[in-house]
Amino acid sequence: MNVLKKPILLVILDILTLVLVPAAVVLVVFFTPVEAVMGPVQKVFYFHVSAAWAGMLCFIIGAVTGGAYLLTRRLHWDWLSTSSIEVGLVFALIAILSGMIWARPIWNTWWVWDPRLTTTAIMTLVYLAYFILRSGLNTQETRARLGAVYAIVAVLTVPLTFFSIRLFRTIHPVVIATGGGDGPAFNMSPRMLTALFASLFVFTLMLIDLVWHRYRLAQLQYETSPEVN
Amino acid sequence: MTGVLAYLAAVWQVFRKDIQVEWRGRQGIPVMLVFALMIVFLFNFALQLSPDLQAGLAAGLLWVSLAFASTLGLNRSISLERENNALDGLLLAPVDRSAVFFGKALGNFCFTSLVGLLLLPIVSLFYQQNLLRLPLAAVLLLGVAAYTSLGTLLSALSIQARTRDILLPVLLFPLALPILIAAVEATRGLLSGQTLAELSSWVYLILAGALLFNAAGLLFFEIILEE
Amino acid sequence: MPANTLNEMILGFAVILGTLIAYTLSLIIRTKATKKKKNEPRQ
Repeated sequence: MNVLKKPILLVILDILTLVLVPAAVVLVVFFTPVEAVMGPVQKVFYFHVSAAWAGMLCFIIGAVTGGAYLLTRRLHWDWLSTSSIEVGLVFALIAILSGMIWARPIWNTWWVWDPRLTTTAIMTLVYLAYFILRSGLNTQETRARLGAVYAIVAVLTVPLTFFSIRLFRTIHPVVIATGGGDGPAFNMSPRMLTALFASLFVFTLMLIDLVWHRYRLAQLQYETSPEVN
Repeated sequence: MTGVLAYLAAVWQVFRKDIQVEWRGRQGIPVMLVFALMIVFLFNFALQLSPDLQAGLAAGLLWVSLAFASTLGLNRSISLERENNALDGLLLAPVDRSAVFFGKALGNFCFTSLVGLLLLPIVSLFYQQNLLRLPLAAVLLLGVAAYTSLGTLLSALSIQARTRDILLPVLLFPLALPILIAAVEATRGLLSGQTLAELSSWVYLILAGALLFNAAGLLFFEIILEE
Repeated sequence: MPANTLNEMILGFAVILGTLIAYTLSLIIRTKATKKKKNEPRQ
């Protein structure tokens, strides 16, 4: 099989992502109402939530495909697992950075040791350590096997982060307010909700696109030098 | 039934071996204890602590020094097995490899909790806080159980890397942080006069960690150590 | 009257899109480098 040849579905996905991401930016910046108290910076929230969602989804995919590797011992599951975790780390970083920029004018500080922020930071550190672990291992097989075990244990931090606003007192706003958290929920107008769902959809598409490309890179690296990789 | 007994016997043998090694060499617990003491003293100067320390600081001091000291014991426990390929011999034993995990985790639990229990009067003495309370000891043992079972699991991962001497803390600290935070919060609550029942959510979080990490050991230890 | 946080909004989107573009570039560069290595004759 020629790995250099791009599947038609990936081409379509590339085009969709390249069109829809700028479209989502335009939608959020120009077609959502300005929040009554916070002002324009509140618009960062749509991509902040989407990035956090995409990051967590990536980490879950990383654990599931890690499990698939352990069951089947086929390397392509490992390529998928490590690709999702790398992309997940990028999204988690975006969520943290955009959150800090929002917090600066709203909370008057870049960072507070709030449960949601703390657990997100822990989750990101845990997945940074995943790459430190892999870089210390010598063969493709041990990297895949031990990486998969680590990815499955590490995914425990995802529900911890997601439910942290339910478990502990927090000042972080609650978006999915079912079940009730302590944090200040804020009511979204229908147009805000539409923009949020559009952003979530676009980020999910972008996630698939990025993971797919990263997967192809892993495959290419393997075929270039299977003995070192 | 005999299967269960044979399994428990294997756990016991691994545990007994580690106790014997420690008893003959006396190199694990003393090193951990002295290291923990140094951190206790270092904190005093680094953070300009006053003797009538607040409950929160005493709790944090106890757990930070214990967590750092414990990584020394965890690293040593697994690197002893690596020397002279003792691990290969252990893995050749005709038992389920998770028995090796539980044996070693039990050993690590005993060593670290002994150091922790010894730290209680010492911190009490130097910081004029009474840490010698039964519920506090219970929280300590539970927290150490969660921490060392995760540590035993991760030490089997880190030992296989080129960077084995420095890797364990990097893997262990972020994953153990939620447990450590819960342990510090529970300890602080007890020191400021709350009861265990009032602090149950933190205790349940530690308990969940202990159960999950032991389940992970049961499931994955075999996979981690396969050749 | 909403707070004037336009600059923060611009900074926010710049960081979000900047990180995404930086990662995409890193993917492209790594893929190019690997392709080049693949096409070189083996020694």
